[in-house]
Amino acid sequence: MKPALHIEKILRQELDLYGSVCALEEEKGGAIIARDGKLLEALSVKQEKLLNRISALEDTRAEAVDEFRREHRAGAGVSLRDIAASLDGERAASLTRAGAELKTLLWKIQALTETNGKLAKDSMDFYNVLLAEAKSKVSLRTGYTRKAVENSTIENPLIFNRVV
Amino acid sequence: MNSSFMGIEIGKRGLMSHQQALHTTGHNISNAENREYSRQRVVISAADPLYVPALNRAETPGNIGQGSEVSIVERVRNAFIDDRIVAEMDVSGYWETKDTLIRQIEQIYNEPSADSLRSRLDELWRGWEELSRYPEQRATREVVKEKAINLASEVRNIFRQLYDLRENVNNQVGARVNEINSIGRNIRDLNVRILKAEALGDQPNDLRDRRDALIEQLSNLVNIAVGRSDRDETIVYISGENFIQGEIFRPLEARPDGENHGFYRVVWQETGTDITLEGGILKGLIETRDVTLRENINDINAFAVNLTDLTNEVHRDGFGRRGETNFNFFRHIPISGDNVDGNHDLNNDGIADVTAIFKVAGNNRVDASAPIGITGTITLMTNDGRDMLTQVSYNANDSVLSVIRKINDARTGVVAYLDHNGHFGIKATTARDHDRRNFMIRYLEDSGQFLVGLTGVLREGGANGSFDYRRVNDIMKFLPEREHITITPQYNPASVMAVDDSIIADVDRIAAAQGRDIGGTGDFNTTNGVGDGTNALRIARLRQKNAMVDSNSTFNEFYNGLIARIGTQGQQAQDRVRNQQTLLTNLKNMRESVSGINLDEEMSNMVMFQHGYNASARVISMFDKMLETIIRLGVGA
Repeated sequence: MKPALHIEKILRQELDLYGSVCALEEEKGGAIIARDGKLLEALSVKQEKLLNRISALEDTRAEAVDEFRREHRAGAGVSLRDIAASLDGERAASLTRAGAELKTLLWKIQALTETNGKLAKDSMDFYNVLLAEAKSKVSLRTGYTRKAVENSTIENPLIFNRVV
Repeated sequence: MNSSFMGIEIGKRGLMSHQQALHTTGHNISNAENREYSRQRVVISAADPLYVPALNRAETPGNIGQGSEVSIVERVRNAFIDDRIVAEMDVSGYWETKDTLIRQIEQIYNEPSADSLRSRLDELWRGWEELSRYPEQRATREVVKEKAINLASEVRNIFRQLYDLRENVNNQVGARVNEINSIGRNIRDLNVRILKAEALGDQPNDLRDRRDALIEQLSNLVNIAVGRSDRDETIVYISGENFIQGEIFRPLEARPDGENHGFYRVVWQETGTDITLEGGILKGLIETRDVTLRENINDINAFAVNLTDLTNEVHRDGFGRRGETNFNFFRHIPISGDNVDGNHDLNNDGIADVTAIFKVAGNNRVDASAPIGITGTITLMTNDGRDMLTQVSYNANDSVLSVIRKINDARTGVVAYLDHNGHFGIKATTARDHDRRNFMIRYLEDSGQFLVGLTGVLREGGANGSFDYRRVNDIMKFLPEREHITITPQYNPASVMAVDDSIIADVDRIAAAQGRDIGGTGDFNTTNGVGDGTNALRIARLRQKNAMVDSNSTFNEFYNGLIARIGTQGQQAQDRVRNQQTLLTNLKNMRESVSGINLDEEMSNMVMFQHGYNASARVISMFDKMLETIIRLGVGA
C-alpha cells in the first residue's frame, strides 16, 4: 500500500479510538459530579488501554511518514498537506478531511480533559474548605473556678476531636 | 446576689433570642426561591454570667448563667465557591457569545441549500460548460448571464449580512460597556452602604448578597477578580487594574477607533488607555467583530475579487458572438476611480499617496517546468504592517513552478501563478495589517532577470526598477500593457460584485469563442466564429484551477474550506459552552449545598425555635408563680 494511503488508514483508526476516548472522557465528567470514585477508576483504566493502542498506531504512522519521506525525497518537516499533494483530488481531500476531523476531535478531548480536571479540582478544593472550616470551628474555652484552677473544655467538635 | 426577678429576665432573653431566630427562619423561607440569597443563621450564645472575678463579689458558686442573647445573624456563604464561579463566568460569557454569533454567521452562508453560494457557483460553472457546447445559442448565453447575476447577488447578500452583523456586534460592544459601568456604579453604591452598616456593628447580609450577585453578573461580561482581603474594601479588578475600590469607581468607555472602521475600542475613561480583555461577553464580541467576522468578510471579498479577475482575464481574451473582444464579464470598479494608473489617496488627505495594483501578468509565455538557468533574488514586502522586506532566492536549476512555490511559501501577501496563457502572474491577497490595504501588491524587486527578462513583469532589475506601492505612478515600473495589470478593486469588492452592464444589456458580448492569430501578431486578433465555445470552456475550467489567493485551492475548495472553518469554530464554541455549563452547574450546586435554603431544615429549625420560645414562656410563667408564692407568703405572715 502507498504510504499516503496507509497514513489515511491509520488516521481513520486513530479517529475511531480517539472517539472512544472522547466518549469515556464525557462519562468521566458525570462520574466526578456524582463523586463516583469507582466508576472514575474503571473509566480511567479503559482509557489507559485505548491510549496504549493509540500509541502503537502513532508509531506505525511515524514509520509510514518516514517511508513517504524516503519515497518522495522530502525533508524532515513533512506535513499532511505535503502528503495530500501526492494524491489525486478525491483521495487528497479524503486524507485532508481525516486529518481535520482528528484535529477537531483532539481539541474536543483537550477541552473535555481540562473541564474534568477543573471539576475534580473544584470538588477536592470544596471539601478541603469544608474540612478546614469544620476543623477551625473547634475551639478551646478556658476559665477559672473559684479555686483558681484552670478548667478547659472543647467546644464544637464537629468532625474531629482535637486533643489540646 | 441573685435577684428575685433574675429568672424572669432569663426567660425574657430566651423569648427574645428564639423570636429573633424565628424571624430569621421566616426570612430564609421567604427567600427560598431567590437565587441570589444566602442562607442566614442566628447564632445564639450565652449571656455574660455572674460574677466577674472581683474582691467584692458574692460568696456564691460561680459562674451563674444569665440566659441567652443573639450575638450575630450570620450569612452562610463560601468565598472560595464565589471566586471560582466568578473565574468561570467570564469564560462562559466569552464562549456563549462566540457560539451565538458563529451560529448567526453559519445562517448567513445558508449551507447546505439550493440557494447557497456554493450551489449558485456550481450552476454558473455548469452554465459555462453548456455554453461551450452550444455557443451559437442565445439561450445558453442567457443562462450564463442569469447564473452569474444570481451568484453575484448572493455574494453581495452574504457580504451585506456579514457587514451588518459586524456593525451590530459593534453596537453591542457599546451597550455592554454601558451595562458594565451601570453594574460597577451599583456595586460601588452597595460598598458604601455595607461599609456604613458594618461601622455600626451590623451585619448587612442582604446587601452583601446583592453585591455578590452583581459581581457575578459583571464577571459574565468581563474578566474580573475580586479582592476581599481588606475587610473595609471590596476591590473589583479588571485585568489587574482597579475597577471598583470601596467607594471609588473607575468607569470604562467605548471610544470610536478611527484606525478600525470607527468601531469601538474599550478604554479606561480616566486615562484613555486600552483595557486588556481576557474573557467575558465583551471579549467574545470584540474578538468575533475583529477576527472572525473580519476574516469572513475578507474571504468573501477575496472570493469576489479573484472570481471577477480570473473570469475577466480569460473573458477579455475571447470573442463575442459578433466578434467583439476585450470586454469584462464581471464589473471591475478600481479603487483609484478615474485614475487609470492606480494612484490612490489611502490616508484620505486629498492627495494620492499609493499606487494600488492588484495583479500583474508578465508579458512572456514561459515554460513552467524547464530550468530557468538564471540566478537572483526577488524582494517582497510583508503585509502585516511592519513593512519588512523578505527575499526569495532562485538559481539556475529552479523552474518557474519552483519559484512560484517559493514566492507563495514566503506568505508575504502576494501569490504567484501561471495564467491561462502560460504567463507568470502575481497578485495581492487580503492585508494582515489593515483592510484598507487589501489586494495591493506592496513591493517587487528582482536582483536578477526572473521578473524582468524571463517573465516580463518588471521593466528593470535592481532597486531602480523596484515597484513600491508607497510611491505614486509606480505602475510604470511594470512592463506589461495596462490590460494585463489590474488596479486594486474598490474597498470591499464583494459589496459591488455584479455582471458587467454591457453583458447584461447584450448577451452576445459573452466571449465564448477563442481567437486566432491572423498575421502573426503574437495575439489572438480574430474570432474563431460563432460556433466556437473554447473560451467558455476555458472559463469553465477555472473551476478546477488552483486559483484562489493565499492557498493552493480552487474556488470551490476555498469556499468549502471557509464553510468548514466556520463549522469547526461553531463546533468548538458549542463544546466549550457545554463544558462551561457543566463546570458552573457543579459549582452552583456546591454553593447551593452551603448557602441554599433547605425547606425541610428550615421547618425543623422553626419547630425547634418555637419549642424554645414556648419553653422560655413557661420559664417566665413558672417564675411568676414562684414570685406569687413569695408574695402570698408575705401576705400570710
